[in-house]
Order: sequence, then C-alpha cells, then structure tokens
Amino acid sequence: MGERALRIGLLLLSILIPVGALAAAFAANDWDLKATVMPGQDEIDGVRDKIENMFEEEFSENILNLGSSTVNPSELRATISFASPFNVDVKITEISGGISCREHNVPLGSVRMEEQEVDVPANGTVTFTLVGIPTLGGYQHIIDAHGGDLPDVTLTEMVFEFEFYGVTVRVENMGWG
Amino acid sequence: MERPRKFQSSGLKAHLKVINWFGVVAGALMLVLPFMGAWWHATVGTEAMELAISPFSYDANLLGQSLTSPLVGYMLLAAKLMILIGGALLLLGSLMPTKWWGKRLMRFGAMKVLWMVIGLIVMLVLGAVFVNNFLPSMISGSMEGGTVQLSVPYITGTSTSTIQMEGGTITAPITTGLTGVFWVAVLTAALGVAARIYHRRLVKPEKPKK
Repeated sequence: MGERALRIGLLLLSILIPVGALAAAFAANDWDLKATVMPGQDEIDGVRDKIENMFEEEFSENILNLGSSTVNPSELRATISFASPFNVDVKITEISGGISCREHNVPLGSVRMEEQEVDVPANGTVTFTLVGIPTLGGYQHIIDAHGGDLPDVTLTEMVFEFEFYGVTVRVENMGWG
Repeated sequence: MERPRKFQSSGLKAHLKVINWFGVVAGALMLVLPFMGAWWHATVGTEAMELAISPFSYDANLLGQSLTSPLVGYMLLAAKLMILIGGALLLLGSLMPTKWWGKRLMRFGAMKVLWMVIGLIVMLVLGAVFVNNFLPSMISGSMEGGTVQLSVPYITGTSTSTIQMEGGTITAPITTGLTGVFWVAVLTAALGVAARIYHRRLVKPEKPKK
C-alpha cells in the first residue's frame, strides 16, 4: 500500500512540476501565447534601437577627406581622414579602389589602404594612408593639369571592409565623392 | 544505559557498508548542478550575439541586449526544481537503501541528469541541422538577390557564416563549445547510472518463500 502510494506520488510529482510551470507561465501573462513565448516588447525595441542607432541617419559628404599627398611615376600616396558615421567602435580592414580627377573625370590610378587595419572609435576621426600606382595617363594628367599635385579626387569601384562586434561587412563597387 | 563503544563502532561500519556511495555523490552533485552555470555557449562575432544555456538557465544577448522568454524561464525553473527534488531523494534513497522506499527514491533521481545530458545533445544537433540546412533557404527567400550560407558547428567548434547581398557581404565567425559544467553533469549522470546498477547488488531482492 505504502509503496504504491509512493510510486503514484513520485509519478504525480514528475507530471505536476512541468505542467504547473507551463500553466504558471501562461497565467502570469494573461494566457497570451505571444507574450508567454516571445521576448518582451521592450527587449525587442532595445535590439531595434541598437541596430538603428548604429549608423548616423545621413552619411555626410565629409566622411573621407584628402590630406597631404605625394605623387611620382611609381607611387601615389595620400593621407586620408575618416570621420566615422558609426555610433559603435569599428575596425577598418580594407579600403581600395580606383581614383579619378573630380574636375576632369580622368582616371588616375588605383589605391589601397597601407595599414593592415585601423581602429575607429564611435563617431571618432582617424587618419590613414592610401597608397597606389598612378596610370601613365593619370600621372601625365596630374603633371599637365594640376602641376604635379594630387587634385581633388573621386573614388570609384571602391571596396570598403570593416568589422564591428567581430562581424565583417564588405561593401563592393562603392563610389565616393 | 550506554552501549559498549565496540558495538557502536561495528554498527556504524555495517551501516556504512550498505550505503550506496555512487548515489550519495550523484545526489550531492545534483543539488549543486543547477547553480553552476551554463553547459554550452555560442558566440557570433565577438559580442554580436551570445548564447549560454543549460537545462536550468539560459542567457541570450543580441548586441548586448538581453532577450528572455517567460515560457522558457518557467520551464527551466521546473527543471531546476525537479533536479533538486531528484537529488535530495537520490541522496536519501542512497543513504538508506535497505528501507522499503530506498529503491523507489533512488530510482526517481538516478537517471534525471542522464536524460538532461542526452536531451541537450539532441537539441543542439537538431538545432544545428535546422540552422545549417533549412534556415538559409527561409532567409534567402525573403532577400531579393541575396544568398545566405549559415554554418553552425555541431555542438562544439568554430565556423563562418556568410550573408551575401547585392554589393556587399556580411561574414560572421561562430564559436560554440561545451563548458566544464557540462562534464560535471556527465560525471553526475554516470554516477547516477552506477548508483542504479550498484543498488541491485547492494540490496538483493528477497526470494519468494516456498
């Protein structure tokens, strides 16, 4: 008799605890399936805000600014300042592409970021160096039309790769300027 | 009247001989296991997404924002309650295996952790199968011109998942692994099984009288 009662008692315990928890979860949320199963609206809003606030609403034209530069037939070198539009820390791992003279729309050559990676604090400004080789026609254009100084340029077929929260984002065929 | 010391000592020795020590250790471990932390963890990127789970608790974070489900919380609480009761009964049944209720209490608690270990492994494998084989086509369907390649390690390891869109690619490393607490759970499960087997040797069933 006692053993049978114990067996039934233990069996009921095994059933009642999970069933009770299930009932309590629904009862605590007014028997609303969505509210019981899904994360709260405030948590979902929190994630949405984090994603939306990651970037500035509008990208300024002054994100990339050309600084000092040197040009010779075998090398083109320019200092670039980058004003981060990101509200989170990012790491730039690649910037590369072609450059053209903004005024005359003449292709000047191709460039890439000299540094392996550049850490950019949230909304911070950093400088890095772009290096490349001018095309023969591009170098000639710089000499003939701009007296040997690198003119104001636009970036074409640009590759921009950056990392945030350990996730790498690579954007290809971008244009800038 | 006080009993002779020798008699007391031999009584204690005799009692210690019939204790199911496997069950005692397993029961004690079951009482602390729910408070030891996660059994398995996964990280996407560095802190883009973090997940740490055990049958008793979970911690899910997306970009630092924690995500909780009331239902999961209550079910994990039930699991915690069940393991604590199971552990206490296993301990009691193992300390007094010769009592008529000893076997029943011991059996109630002995296999619980084993089933939880098996359940977690099955859930992780099925989860990885779903994410690797079915989720990409579900996401790709809602992305015009995009492809999704998700690769989640089965239980433990490192892999890389890629989402390719027009003009861009998002790549995220995924790292998963079992924690030290999982191995404590495996040890507890093994001791629980050993306790169940040892109980049969410890308490021989009475032969029916002729």
